[in-house]
Amino acid sequence: MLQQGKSPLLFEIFHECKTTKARAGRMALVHHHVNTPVFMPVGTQGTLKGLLPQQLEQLDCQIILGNTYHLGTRPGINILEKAGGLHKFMNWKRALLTDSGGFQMVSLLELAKITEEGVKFKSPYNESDCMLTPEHSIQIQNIIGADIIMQLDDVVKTTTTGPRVEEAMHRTIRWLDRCLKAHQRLNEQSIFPIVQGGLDSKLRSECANQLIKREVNGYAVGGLSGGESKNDFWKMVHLTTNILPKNKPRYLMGVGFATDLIICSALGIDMFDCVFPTRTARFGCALVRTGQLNSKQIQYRKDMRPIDESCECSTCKIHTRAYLHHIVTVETVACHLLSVHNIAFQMKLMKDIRQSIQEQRFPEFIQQYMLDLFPNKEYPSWIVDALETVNVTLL
Amino acid sequence: MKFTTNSIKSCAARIGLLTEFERIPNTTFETPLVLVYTKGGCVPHLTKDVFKMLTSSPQMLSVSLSSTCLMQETMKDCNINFANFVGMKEYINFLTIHDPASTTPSGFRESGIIPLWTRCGKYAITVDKYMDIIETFKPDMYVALCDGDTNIDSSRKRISKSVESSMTFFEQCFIKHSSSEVLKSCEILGAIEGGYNKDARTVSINYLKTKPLIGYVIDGLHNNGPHVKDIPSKQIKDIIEHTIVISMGCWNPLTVLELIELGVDIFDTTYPYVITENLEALTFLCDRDNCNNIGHIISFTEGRYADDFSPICSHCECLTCKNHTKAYLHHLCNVKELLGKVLLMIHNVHQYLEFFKIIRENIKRDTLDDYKKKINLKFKQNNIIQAEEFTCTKDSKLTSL
Repeated sequence: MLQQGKSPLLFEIFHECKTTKARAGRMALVHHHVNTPVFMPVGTQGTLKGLLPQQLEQLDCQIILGNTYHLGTRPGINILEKAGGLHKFMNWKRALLTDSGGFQMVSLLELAKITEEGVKFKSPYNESDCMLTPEHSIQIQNIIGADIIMQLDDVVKTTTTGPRVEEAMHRTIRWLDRCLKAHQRLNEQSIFPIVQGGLDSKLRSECANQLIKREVNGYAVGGLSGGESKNDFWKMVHLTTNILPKNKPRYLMGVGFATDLIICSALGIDMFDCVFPTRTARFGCALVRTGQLNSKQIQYRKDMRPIDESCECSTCKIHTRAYLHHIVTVETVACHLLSVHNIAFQMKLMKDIRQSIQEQRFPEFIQQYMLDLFPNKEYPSWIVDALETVNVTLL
Repeated sequence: MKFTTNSIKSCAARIGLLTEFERIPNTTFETPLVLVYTKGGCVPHLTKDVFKMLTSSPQMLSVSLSSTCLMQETMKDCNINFANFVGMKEYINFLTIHDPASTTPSGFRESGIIPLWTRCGKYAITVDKYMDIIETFKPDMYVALCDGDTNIDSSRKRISKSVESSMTFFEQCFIKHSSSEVLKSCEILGAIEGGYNKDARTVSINYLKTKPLIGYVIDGLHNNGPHVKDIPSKQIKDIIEHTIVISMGCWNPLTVLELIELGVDIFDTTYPYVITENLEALTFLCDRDNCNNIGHIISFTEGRYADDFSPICSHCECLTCKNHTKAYLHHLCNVKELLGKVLLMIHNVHQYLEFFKIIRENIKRDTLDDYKKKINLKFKQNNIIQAEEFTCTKDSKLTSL
C-alpha cells in the first residue's frame, strides 16, 4: 500500500535495555506524542470514569482508549460525524485509540455469530439482524477519528483449542487485508493488525509472520489475558515480540496489572490497556505497589495515612484512608478520587519503567520491584521463568 | 467572627460583611452569601481539585450532620476536626442538623431527642450527644439543637410544641457552649421556629433576642428536600439588626430574591445540586437578547440536545460551557456516565455563585427590583403557575409584616 504524505505514526526508540528486550521510545501521533512503554486508560463511552480531560492531562495521560462498539451504539456514528470525530465530541486534545468493536460484540452479545463476511449480531435495541464487517468497522473508526485504530479480528476465547483457533487466525489475516483496503484516512490514522493464534506457538508464529508482510505502523498482540495460565501467557508474548519488527510499536491488548506491565515491558511490549484501574476504583479499591487496598475494609476506618505516602497524586496529597473509607460507595467523589489515584499509579509505574530503561538499570528495577512484592522470595514460577528468558535473575 | 451591615431599615435587602473568623482570620465574605452545599464532606460530584477549578475564591461550606455524623467516632478517636478530616481546611464551614437536599421524615418525636436520619437509619440525638459531636467537629458556625419539624400544613399544637422544645434545646446547648473551652472559636446560632404562624414565631424570636448571638437560622418552614423549590415564600420575619439571618434549603431563585428583600443574608447551593441530580442545567441567569435559552432550566433527558453542538449558554464563563457541548452532556446523561453530573454541577454551582454576585451588585446600585423583574421573565417562560403564585406572595408579604 502506498503511503502518501507524512506518516500518522512515527516511532523512535531512544534506549534499548542491554539485558532484556525492553525499549523506551516515543510515538509521534497526529494529536499528541506518546512516551513508551505506555499504559492507556480506557474511556469506553467517550469519557474516563468521571474525570475531566484537564484532570487526565494533569495526570500526564498522553493517550486514552475509546470503544467502537459502545460509541457506535451511543451516541452513534451520525452524532460523532456531525461533531467532527471523538476528539472534538469529548474535547480531548491528546491521542486516542479505538478498538474494532468485534471483541465487545462477541463478549457482550450472546447471539453474535462469526461468518467469513463479518460478525453477525442482533441489535440489542430492536432485535434486527446486523453485520459488522471489517470494512464497516474501519468506516466507523474513520469517523471516530482516533490516532490508532484496530483491525477487526476473529476473536475466540483464549482457552479455545482445536481447528477453530486456526480458522480464526487465518480469518484475522484475511480480514486485515480487507481493513487495510477500506481505510480512508491514511495520513491521519494508523491501523494496527492483531496477532492471533491462541496459545499455539505454531499458529501464533505463522500469524505474526504473515502480518509483518503488510505495511503498517504498528502491531497488536491479541487473544491473551483471557483466563489462560500465566505460563502460556508470557510464552506467547515472548514468541510474538521475537517475530515482530523492532522498529514498530507493539501493543499488548487488555493487560494492565503491575506485574504483567513490568514483565511484558521486559519482553519488548510498548503499549498496554486495561479497564482494571478505573473499574476497581468504583468498588473502592486503590492500587498500591504491593497489590490492592480496599478502602471499604474496616481496618482503614481510623487510618489517618494517605493511600500511599510516596504517591504524588491529588488524592494522596489531600485525603486519608479513613476519610475515603467513610465516603466510598456513598459519594461519587470517592470513585473519582480513587480513579485519580489509580491512574496516577499506572502512570508512575510506566514512568519508572521508562526511566530505568533509559538509565540502563531496568534489570535492577525489576529485581527490586519483585523483592518488594514477594519479600519472602517465594516468586511465582512463571515470573522466574519469564525473566530468565530475558536474562534477569531475581534476588 | 464579626458581622457588620450598614442597613438601617429592617426587612430590606442589605449588604453585610462577615469578618474575623477565628480559624482563618483574613477571610471575609460579603452577604447576601451562598454557602456551598456539601454532603459527606465533599461538594457532590466534585473532587477538591475540580472544585478549585470551579472557584478559586474563598467559600463557606454548608455541612449537614445527617451526612457526616457517622464520621464522628473516627474524628474523635483521631483527635481531628471536621475541616481537617475531610480535607477542606481552607474553607469556613457551617454545620446544620438535617440535609437540606433530602426530605427529613416527619414525626418520630420523643421528649429531649431529635431524630437524625443517616444512611444507616435513625439516630436519636440528645443535647449531650449533640454537643459532644460539636466539640469533635469544631465547626466555624453551627446551629443549636432544634425541633424544626413543621411546615405550611402543621397544626397550631405542633408549632407551639416545636417552639417550646427548641427553646429548651437552645438553653441547654447554650450553657454547654458557653462553658466549653474547645468551642471558644466556634459560633453558635439560634434557630427561629414557629412554622408559618406569626405569633409562635414572635415567641421564638423574642426569646432568642435576649441571647448574645451573631445570627439566626430561620427554621421550621419546610422539611427539606427537592420539593422546597416549589414553595413560594410565605413567611414572616423580624430582622434583628447586626445579626446574620440564614435560610437553608432548596429555594428556587425567585424565592431567594424574595427572602433577600426580607433581609435574609445567607443561603446554600442545595438548589443547583437538586437541579444537577435531575440532569438539568440552569439557564435563568443570562439576560442577553441573543440568549438561546428562553426558560430557566434545560433538561438533558430531552432528545433535542443530542446533536446540539453549542454550550449550555454561550455567555457562561464556567469550565463546562467553555469546553463542552450540549450534545456531549446529553450523551453522558444518556449513558449514565459520572462525568455528566460532574459537568452539570460545575455549571450549576457556577451559575449560582454568579447569581449572588449579581444580587450584591444590584443591592449596592439599588436596582434589585429591576433585576427581579428580569429574572422573573425567564421563569415565566417555563412555569407560568409558579410566577403567578409568586405575585400572590408579594401581597401577602405586606400584610404579614
